[in-house]
Amino acid sequence: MYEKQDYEVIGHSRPRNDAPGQVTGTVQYVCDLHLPGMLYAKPVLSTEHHARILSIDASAALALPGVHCVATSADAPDYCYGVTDHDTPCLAVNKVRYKGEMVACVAAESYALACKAASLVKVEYERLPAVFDPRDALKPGAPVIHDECQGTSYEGNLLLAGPGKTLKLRVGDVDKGFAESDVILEREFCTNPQKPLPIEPFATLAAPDDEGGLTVWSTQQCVFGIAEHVASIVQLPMSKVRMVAPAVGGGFGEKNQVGTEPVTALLAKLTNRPVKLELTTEESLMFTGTKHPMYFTYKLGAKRDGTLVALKWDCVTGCGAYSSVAKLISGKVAFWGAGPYLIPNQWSDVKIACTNKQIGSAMRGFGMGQPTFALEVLMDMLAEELGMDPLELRKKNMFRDGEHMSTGQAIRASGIGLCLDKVAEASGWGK
Amino acid sequence: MKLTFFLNGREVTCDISPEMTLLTVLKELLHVNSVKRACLQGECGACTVIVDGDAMNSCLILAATVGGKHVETLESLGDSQHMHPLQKAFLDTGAFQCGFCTPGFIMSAKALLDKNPHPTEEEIRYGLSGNLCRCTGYVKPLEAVKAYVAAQSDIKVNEDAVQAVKAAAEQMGGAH
Ligand code: FES
Ligand code: FES
Repeated sequence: MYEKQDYEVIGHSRPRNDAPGQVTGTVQYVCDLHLPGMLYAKPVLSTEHHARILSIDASAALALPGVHCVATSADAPDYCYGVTDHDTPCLAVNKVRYKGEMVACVAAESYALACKAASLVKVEYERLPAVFDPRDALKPGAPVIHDECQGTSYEGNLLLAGPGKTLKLRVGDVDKGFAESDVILEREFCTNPQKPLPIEPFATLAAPDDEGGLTVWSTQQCVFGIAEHVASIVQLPMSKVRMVAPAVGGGFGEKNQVGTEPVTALLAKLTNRPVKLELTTEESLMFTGTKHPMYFTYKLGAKRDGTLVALKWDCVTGCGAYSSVAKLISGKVAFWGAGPYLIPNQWSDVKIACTNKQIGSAMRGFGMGQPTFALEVLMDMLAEELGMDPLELRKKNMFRDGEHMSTGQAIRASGIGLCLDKVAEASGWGK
Repeated sequence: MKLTFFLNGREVTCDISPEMTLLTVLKELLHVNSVKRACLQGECGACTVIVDGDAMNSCLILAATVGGKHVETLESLGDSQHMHPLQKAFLDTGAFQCGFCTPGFIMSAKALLDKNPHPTEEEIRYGLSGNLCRCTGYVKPLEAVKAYVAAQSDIKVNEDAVQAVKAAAEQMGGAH
């Protein structure tokens, strides 16, 4: 099954179809697209972490010749989008929940004019207390970020995940497991809210077509999933919205969710012109997501010979101001917190907290990296405690074909033993 | 105001406003495809072009200052049928993934090589230091430029050999 064979494609370097275009500069990204009569958009981003919007005055911006529109939530239908929970407006409604949230967006004849107009839009805020650490956000008395969807999507700042509100996994009896353990380690770990930061910032071009529909070119990787939200914002049937993904200038997870498409589509509808919204890197840093920061508490019990007996862990993750992909990511965390190891007794709980930070996004591993970091460091600590070779400790407990994972999934061909042997050999382990 | 400059050897004139950057003129007015727009702060190098021989971030240059000057973009090197050996070197080395940074890297390398055809590794690193790549990293672009330099040196050696043979043949009294 693992025998090396000679294939026509596998094992050989093949030229990439798009490569000649990349080195000659003919590949088109959204920033390279131009349409006749196209307007340039510039966003007005929140300068506050958490605040009530008292007023938005766009009169000075609109007075500039060549400025076609300054869109605010008053121009958008009452619709919020989201992958699992519809909690995200295309422009901030009544309040802002993170610094960088889009409050208004200008469309003008040139980018320079749009920038000037955006700088003239006056937003008056009433600052509200903000919360940044997801653990603080779950404490009683923390400022509540989503007042509207209480009971449906949120309870306080807890994003409700599944019937149990948090993601729970129970296998065997952990108390009994710890009682039978010779060594017990308890440690805390946290991971930071890294930015994906592709070199190409978020950009969208939206253009009305001749048949009453709309075409949207976007830097996102999976544009079709965005069509329904664009359609709801411009109030068209989905069949009238055509989504196009030209070349993507890197994503790293960030370009895996709804971005600037709904607002650009809204501007195209309001002006009846093609509109291009290109963020700068700085705006992208403020507006777009981060890897979900996670706080883990782990307790691991083992026998003297290294056999893992019990694992109890919990995780609090911050989804930022809106839910986006947090539940999907956290599902992966819940499923992967015990790593590729067979542990008979397990107890875990994953909680998602809303904070006044940028919206959490997919990034490199979609929730797999954070628990892997925590557990693998813990495994090294355990090996040290037992005076055991860390590789041996892993081999002793790793997935074996024919067994079941803690979620009940049958392990048929994990290949992990082979992989570990290869890594040990290639890295000169133990030499 | 009117701006006249040379874009890839061709004289162009456009109507600009004083606050426009060269990047804005190249993208918004002239629709040059290869030049990329990203940070607008001189951080990433995606907008790199060559102005009178120097690699520059077009997002940091006021367009009004390039009047009468020569601006080169990746379009000046070659197309997919007739690639410049430097483009070929980036292609063969696989010095890119998403490709968004690639035009900037190639133009920085071009500016370096035009001035210094046999750069050391350190000089190449310095020459490419204004360009950020998030996907591939920096090893492959460095290898691409090194491969190009090595290939050019080989050609030069061969040309020297050809000259030597010719000279020898002439000395022998036109015995060809
Ligand atoms: S866009 Fe000019 S350096 Fe980044
Ligand atoms: S190849 Fe994607 S940024 Fe360099």
